[in-house]
Amino acid sequence: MTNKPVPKPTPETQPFWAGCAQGELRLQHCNTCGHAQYPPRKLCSGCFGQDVAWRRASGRGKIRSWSTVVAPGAPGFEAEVPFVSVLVTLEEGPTMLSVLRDCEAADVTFDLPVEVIFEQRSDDIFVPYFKPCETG
Amino acid sequence: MTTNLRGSVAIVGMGETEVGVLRGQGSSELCAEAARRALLDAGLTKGDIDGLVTCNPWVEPHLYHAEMFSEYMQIFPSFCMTLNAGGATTLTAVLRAASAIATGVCTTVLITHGDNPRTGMTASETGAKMTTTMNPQFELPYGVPLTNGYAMAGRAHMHEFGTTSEQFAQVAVSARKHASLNPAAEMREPITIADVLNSPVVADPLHALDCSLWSDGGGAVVVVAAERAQDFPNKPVFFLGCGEGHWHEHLFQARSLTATAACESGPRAFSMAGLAPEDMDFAQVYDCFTPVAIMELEDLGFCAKGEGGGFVENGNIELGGTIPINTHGGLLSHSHTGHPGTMFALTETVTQLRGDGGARQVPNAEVGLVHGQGGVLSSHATLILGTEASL
Repeated sequence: MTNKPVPKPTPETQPFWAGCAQGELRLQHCNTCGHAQYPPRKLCSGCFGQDVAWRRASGRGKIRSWSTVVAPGAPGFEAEVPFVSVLVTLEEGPTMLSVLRDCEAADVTFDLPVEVIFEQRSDDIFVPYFKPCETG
Repeated sequence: MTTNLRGSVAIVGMGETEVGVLRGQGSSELCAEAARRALLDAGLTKGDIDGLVTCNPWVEPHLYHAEMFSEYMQIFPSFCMTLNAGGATTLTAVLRAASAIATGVCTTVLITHGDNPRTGMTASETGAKMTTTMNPQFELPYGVPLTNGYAMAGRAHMHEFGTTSEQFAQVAVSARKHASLNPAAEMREPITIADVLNSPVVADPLHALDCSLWSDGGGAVVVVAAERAQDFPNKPVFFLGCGEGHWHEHLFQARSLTATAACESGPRAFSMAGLAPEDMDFAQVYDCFTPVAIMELEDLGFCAKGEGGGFVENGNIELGGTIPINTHGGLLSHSHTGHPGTMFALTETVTQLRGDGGARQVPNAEVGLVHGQGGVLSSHATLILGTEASL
């Protein structure tokens, strides 16, 4: 059993984590102004409107920056270092902090295309990670 | 109705504790000792204080810290607040103190900070505290420490503008040079760019010597209305302008990885002061990690955006250079006491404007800037102070 931190969904974020458990990355889109947002919020962070809907995201994005972690910032990751922390800009616009799998640190580049994968953290929580993918 | 705060208040007292490894001194105790020294410097007694601003320390936090500390001191202020903007806290405190005095809420504000994160916490307790800065659902589950967040911003600056590891290192080398002139600084042995580049990589592209210290210590200042500024034993230092900018809390929500809200806090402060970057005799910028100082020099307008890497070379940021920064040694070499860290940049600014800088004194210093940053490039506050001649 892992002692890694397990995200605790809130009413606002529950649909996101439910999506992850089903193998899909979900983002909120505003039906009023078209803004896509992450992390989840009750209201649109673009126009503060209420008409915000969940949609499945493409799950693809590009590396915005990265840095190798040698001293983990939370318990449970000691056996995994070194690993590559990344900021991923999703195709829909928002940026996520995550960790890159299946890639050596020396092979990471700016704008490297990546796609989401999910790692099980508890019975019902799956955490989105990324791995390199083919362009397009 | 607006009230112009320029020249409305002055700092008439300052106190610093020793910094570094202060085993056996708790955070409340350091807060109190800093306050005692500031009151002594101002020629005041605790009963004269009717405004108190503190920040919550990591080691002995209290839900209502300022109320706790007024109880500790047995003072009964009409203005009492705990602020929480990380490394920007100290300067947001000065702005709130000035506002409270200008609006008649109180007359004599003590801003005091103290913490002992170096010796007051075990490594695992420090790690656990650090995780509280993370978004619990969208950052913490990845086990990525704060240092790697700053590292990703530094790497983005290298990519966007061609900034080099040698240029990052130069910030640390210059800070150490200034610290070597300051008997109060924690790390005083000069270092070279090679020393920085040969120090262990802690979060690429950052080396150990690109990172600030981790220290115990406390500092305090006393703020009063400018009309009373001459009634105190030491040379007053006047508030000329202050501005803030707040763009995010968590790095993945940042509007930019290479530009910060200093590009808003700086112009707001300069506008209030009626001054420009070229008018500054020195600047204390927030140097928790070397790339941050470079970004702030750009965003505050000391050089063009993207040119900060080249700007820090050739002694430009050292005593005798274009704009000496962090004349006390900064967070990199003087001390980093956590939330109180910027207090030492503020007390150093007062020291310089009093002309008490000794071997590290900026000649004829009349106007100086001090900048604080909290979170991960999150909260920014810029304060401009000056001598009576600058009013």
